[in-house]
Amino acid sequence: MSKIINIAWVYPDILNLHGDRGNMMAIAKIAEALGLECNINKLSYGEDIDFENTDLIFMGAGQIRDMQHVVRDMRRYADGFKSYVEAGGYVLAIGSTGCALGKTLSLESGETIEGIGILDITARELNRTKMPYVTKEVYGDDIWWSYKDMDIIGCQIQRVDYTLGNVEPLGKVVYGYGNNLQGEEGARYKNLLLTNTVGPLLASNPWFGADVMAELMVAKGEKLSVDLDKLEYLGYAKESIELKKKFIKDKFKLPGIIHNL
Amino acid sequence: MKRVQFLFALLVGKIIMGLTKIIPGVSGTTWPGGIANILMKNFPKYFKFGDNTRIVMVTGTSGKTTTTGMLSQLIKSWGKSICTNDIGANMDRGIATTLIRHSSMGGKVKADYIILEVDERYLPIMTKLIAPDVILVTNVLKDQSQRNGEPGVIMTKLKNAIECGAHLILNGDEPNSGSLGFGKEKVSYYRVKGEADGYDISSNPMAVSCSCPVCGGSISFEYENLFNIGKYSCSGCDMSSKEDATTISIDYENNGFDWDGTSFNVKYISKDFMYCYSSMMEFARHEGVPAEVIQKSIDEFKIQSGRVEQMKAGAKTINYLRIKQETPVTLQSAIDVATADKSEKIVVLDLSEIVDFNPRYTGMYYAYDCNFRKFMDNNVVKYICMSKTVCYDVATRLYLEGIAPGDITVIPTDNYDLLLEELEKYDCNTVYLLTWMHSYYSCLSSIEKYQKKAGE
Repeated sequence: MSKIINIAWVYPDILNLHGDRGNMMAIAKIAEALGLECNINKLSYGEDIDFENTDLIFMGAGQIRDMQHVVRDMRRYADGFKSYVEAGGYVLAIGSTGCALGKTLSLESGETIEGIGILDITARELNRTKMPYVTKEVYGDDIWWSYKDMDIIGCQIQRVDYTLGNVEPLGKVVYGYGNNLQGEEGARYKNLLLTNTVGPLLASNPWFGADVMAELMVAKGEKLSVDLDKLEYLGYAKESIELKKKFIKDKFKLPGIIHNL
Repeated sequence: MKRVQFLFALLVGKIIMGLTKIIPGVSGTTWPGGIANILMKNFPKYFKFGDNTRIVMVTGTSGKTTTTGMLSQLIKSWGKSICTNDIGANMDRGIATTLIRHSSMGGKVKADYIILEVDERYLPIMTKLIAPDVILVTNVLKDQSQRNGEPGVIMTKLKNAIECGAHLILNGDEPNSGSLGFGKEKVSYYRVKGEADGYDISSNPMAVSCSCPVCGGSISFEYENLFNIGKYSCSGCDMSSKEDATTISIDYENNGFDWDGTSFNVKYISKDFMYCYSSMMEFARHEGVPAEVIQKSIDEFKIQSGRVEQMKAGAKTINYLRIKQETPVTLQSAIDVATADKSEKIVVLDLSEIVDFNPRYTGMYYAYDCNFRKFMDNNVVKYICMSKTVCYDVATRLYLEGIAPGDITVIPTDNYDLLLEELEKYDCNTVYLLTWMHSYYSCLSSIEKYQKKAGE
């Protein structure tokens, strides 16, 4: 293998609320199937990201209570992070981590936490009392969204509503809550990708991980064919998504649930 | 006026309780408390307790029911009278029902001890209605994300609840629970001594821990007895396992544990039970229970609904290990129990969609918090992943841990008849079935059918 992909896995102990490490386990296998050598570098608080030699920054979902600490540490290298993103560097961020990358997080307590502001989004802590099937602080469900020509299905444990500013949504909701029940899923600014799909997104949707890797290899000036035939668990993923589509379609009849099929 | 209203609600509650005893199929429900709560706001607040009655509330993510059972048995073995919701009805309705059951017509609860299992979300409500003398916290971990979102949500609720002035008995090996004692005077801790088992962070580049509830830093574990429970320290502050805690050491050879130079024999040796025993030891110390009473209570304690059951299906012995969905600690405990058996085995993983609340959904991400590596080199001849929805995701989870696809069979069904048919293909007669509570009854029914068919 001559092509190399360097991944910075940022705050793995902190941003691992919903088994997010499954994404790193999956990406190593996806990279291998695509003929890439994958180096994963775990970074904790106080450690710096080597932006020059990083192809992808991965940040899982964390607790809302930890966002202030995440932001505090990110401020050390926020300028470098911004330069990296502006120059087309790839970031995959999951769930609540959008609060740290965005402009503000407004909490129910009245407190506002300022993010590093690289992503033009704002977040408001969930406090829904009238929406069916939701506790006050959280909405948990499946989420099915489309990205390019792909179907992505996973889970969403939403603790905030996101409002997008001058950024595009990452995908279109087919079923589920998305950013705020308005049919948009996640956000994309240049090559910073934010999704609300928590947990092992890339394990369940390896085509999404392969597409991101293909994009970034092209950005590096290298060609990469997205041929996942060598991925041993591709069959499991394909079977799984069909079972989930069937399961989710059965929920369409529930009142208050958004779907756009 | 409030007194009259209370007595009326209590009377209605008692009448409904009487009716539920004679109407088939509704015995043991929480209707009496539910209706009394509707008839009177803050209904439990108006019960009267004896001057010397001790009120204990047990809360936390996992281990509440077992711990409540152990404390209750301890008090009974001590010869004291007790009122407890030992059927696990731990929310407002269940607790009100328990108090109705144990009270006089005038609302006086006669008991030396009132030991209540309380759902962690309801603790702030209950402590406002009934002032506890002791609050025991088992642990505060990832659990029911669809309802709780994150442990921090529960921590906020518990922090409010413990301001009631009760003595706190906290898990000194679990960062969230341990942090509740910060700045508190009336607090004590319990622990279980352990050791690294070779599956720790250094052996797995994908291993992760958790965040510190005090400073947000990374927690590192010297060893984990259970998921996110063990000897720990924080990289960012002085949070660590409590050295001055009541600490028990597991004695696997003699089926027991040691505490303060005394050995105790137990029926249930798994680590999750050990934390319950350890909390009971600290409770016993705090309440002044004599050592001979403790051993007597341990001998007399029986779990009500086991997380471990054995069933026979022909030549196969099926070890049913119950997990609580969305709760990694219970899945990890089941993995630990299965892997403690080094003999040849088939492992069946029946993790299904989450059905606790609406909308049901296909979350199985909690499996990524668990350590499946323990199955490697553990004499597993076959892994079978079954369920209608997430069986292929579970197979992926195993594959990503390093288990070869050839060792994994997927059956996309929740029909246990088909599982039993599948099991017939293998010579191995020991089966570990890791699944959730509802599957227990389906499994039992399929086994009965199977045995009938086989003429057993």
